[in-house]
Amino acid sequence: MISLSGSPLSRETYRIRLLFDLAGLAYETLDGAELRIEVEGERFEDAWRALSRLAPPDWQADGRWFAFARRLASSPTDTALFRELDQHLWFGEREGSPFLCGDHPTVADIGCFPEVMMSEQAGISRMPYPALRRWSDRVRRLPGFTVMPGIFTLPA
Amino acid sequence: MSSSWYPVASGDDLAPRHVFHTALGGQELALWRDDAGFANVWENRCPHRGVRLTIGANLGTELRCQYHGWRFSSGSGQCAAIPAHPGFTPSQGLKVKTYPCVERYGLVWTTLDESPEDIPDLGAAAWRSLRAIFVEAPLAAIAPHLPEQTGLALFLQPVSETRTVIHGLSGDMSFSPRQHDDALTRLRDRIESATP
Repeated sequence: MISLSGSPLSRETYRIRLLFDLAGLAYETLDGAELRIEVEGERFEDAWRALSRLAPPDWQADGRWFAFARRLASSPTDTALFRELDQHLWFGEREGSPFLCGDHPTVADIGCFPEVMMSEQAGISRMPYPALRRWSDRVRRLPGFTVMPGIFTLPA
Repeated sequence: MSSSWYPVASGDDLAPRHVFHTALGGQELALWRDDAGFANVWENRCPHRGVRLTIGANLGTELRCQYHGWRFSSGSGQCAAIPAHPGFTPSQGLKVKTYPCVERYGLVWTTLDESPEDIPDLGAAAWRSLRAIFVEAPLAAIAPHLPEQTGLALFLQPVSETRTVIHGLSGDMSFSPRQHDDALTRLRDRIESATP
């Protein structure tokens, strides 16, 4: 059994919750503001390690874009990263890769999603990144998608 | 700003059930394609509380504001329904401000003027739209640097006083979209580093 606690306002907690909800992993939510992930007694201190270790095989990302997501999380106002992401996704749309690592979503998409969606609160408009806005629609329409405060669902 | 039609998106930007966000001359715009293929260019503002429509949802024939769920019809911008008043028929004056829209050469064009000059005539050649390049510089700082190249047509969209989008069309299929993209990205970087 997997158990998870953490602040509902934290991007770190949201990332883990998104993985569990999108990949269909059953888990129980415990009270507590501190991020705490336990799987069969094993405790994960590091949310990124938990993401890559707990992702089922079809949710595994290639190293480049998983590393990119970590970079974005530590520099969430670096517009050069938003430009890189937008360009990658624009070409991906034309080459059969609607998600960061190909035709299906992975933990790289989950890794980038909270920072992208919270960017406007950090003063970064998404207007200059149209492919990134379309990608965020695709993520929000995935089966099992869940929200955090400030992020809305989209109708099919 | 001159009295013109401006490209504000490529046709591909208006993905199914998506609401595209841009601006022209400081006027924010919400663009969306309905399920029949019609492209709407609307003021990015709900007439109810002024909330941006780009955070709303494209329902296929209507756009729904995220804030109170008011729905507006494709084409007219007329308010079609107000969830808090289910039996109520919204008045004719209750509508989103709409702008004219023409799709040509793979680009979506609009104008804020009553009598704009014609859209440039590019002849009958096949054009492929390139990735639009967003530049943190005013239009006047970019225009002198645009390359003159056969088979490449570039247009500038003044987003605001300080931001501009370069829209490119390629008629020369011997250049790949990535080659054009690299060249335009380098041009953007040069212009931005020269802009105070």
